[in-house]
Amino acid sequence: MTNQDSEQPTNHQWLRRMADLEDSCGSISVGGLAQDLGMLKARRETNVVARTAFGKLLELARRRAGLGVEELAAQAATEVADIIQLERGDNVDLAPRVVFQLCAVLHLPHTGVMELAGLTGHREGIVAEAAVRFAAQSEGIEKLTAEERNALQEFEKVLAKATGQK
Amino acid sequence: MSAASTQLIDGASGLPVEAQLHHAMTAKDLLLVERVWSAHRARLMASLLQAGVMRRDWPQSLHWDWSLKARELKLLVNSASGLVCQGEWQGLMITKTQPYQARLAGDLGRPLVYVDFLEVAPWNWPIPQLQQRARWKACGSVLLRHAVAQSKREGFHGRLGLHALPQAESYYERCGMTRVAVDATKEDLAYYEFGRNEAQHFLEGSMP
Repeated sequence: MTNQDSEQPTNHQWLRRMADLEDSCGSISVGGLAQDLGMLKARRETNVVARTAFGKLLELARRRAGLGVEELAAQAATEVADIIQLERGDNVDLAPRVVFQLCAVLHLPHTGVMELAGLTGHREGIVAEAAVRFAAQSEGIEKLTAEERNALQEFEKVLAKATGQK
Repeated sequence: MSAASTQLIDGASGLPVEAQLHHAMTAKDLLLVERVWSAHRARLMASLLQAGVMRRDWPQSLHWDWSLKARELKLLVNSASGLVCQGEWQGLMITKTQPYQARLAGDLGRPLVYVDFLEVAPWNWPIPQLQQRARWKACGSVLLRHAVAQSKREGFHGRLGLHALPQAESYYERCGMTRVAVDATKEDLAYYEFGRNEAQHFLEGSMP
């Protein structure tokens, strides 16, 4: 076979064999460039309590604002899937820009929320302690109960205090 | 951007279909493709979440967001190729010839083509958990064939290297590539290489 041959149209037998191979293996993705651009780095690990609290905060603040997940994603210029995962307390690799936009849309104090999301260092454990109380108290139901509203307000006060300390 | 005729397999009928292989794509072209693919990836992600599929079973390139990397992409001087079928981009590949060298014992230090990026459109990913079958098949293989051809044109005799994502390792092994090393400097991705004989077997479809 010459160099030219490898550029000839592929024959059907070869194509079918390779189609079956791709089907059975599932993926052909090559990662060199993604690695060079930092896209393969392990996602930032935030602790489970902080993630749960952040998820609850996001969900309650969204519901208080009367927004659906899609509306919030659109207004904060982020992905629907990210909002769903964040509210579930999944470990999502959040860009500071996204947290900033979420805070702006939901009228949350951004510095305290950044700390909660693991994007800035913890100070004196105030937010961490409040996060534990908040994560333990709030439930994921459709309408905010009086208890949820109180829990949300209390937590926001702590976050606002953290913001004021910066 | 020049183009050559090639073929893919229609996932629904199993029949060959005409496609075009475009060369010399620009970073701007890549980002336009990404805009379409990323919207589809977001829908897939939502479906996977809804179906309760464990994160470890998600396609490993699902979270890649090239739009955030536009600046870096523009700075890269690479050779980018893309496959078009029925008016849509079905697969993309970026190759380099520098500064990579062969690592297989028999070819050590010789020049090769390094596949820096190879990906197919998200609607071409077989995802059994969502009952999604590839719309167009063999996209990755046709692009890989093109990279081997490039290696021959460059006088590298088909020598080719790449770092596969873990979910893609079995594909490259079954293409006949040799697993050379797991690279700690590449987030522990496995590095695979075609020597000239293995590349020829791949082109002929006579892999073991």
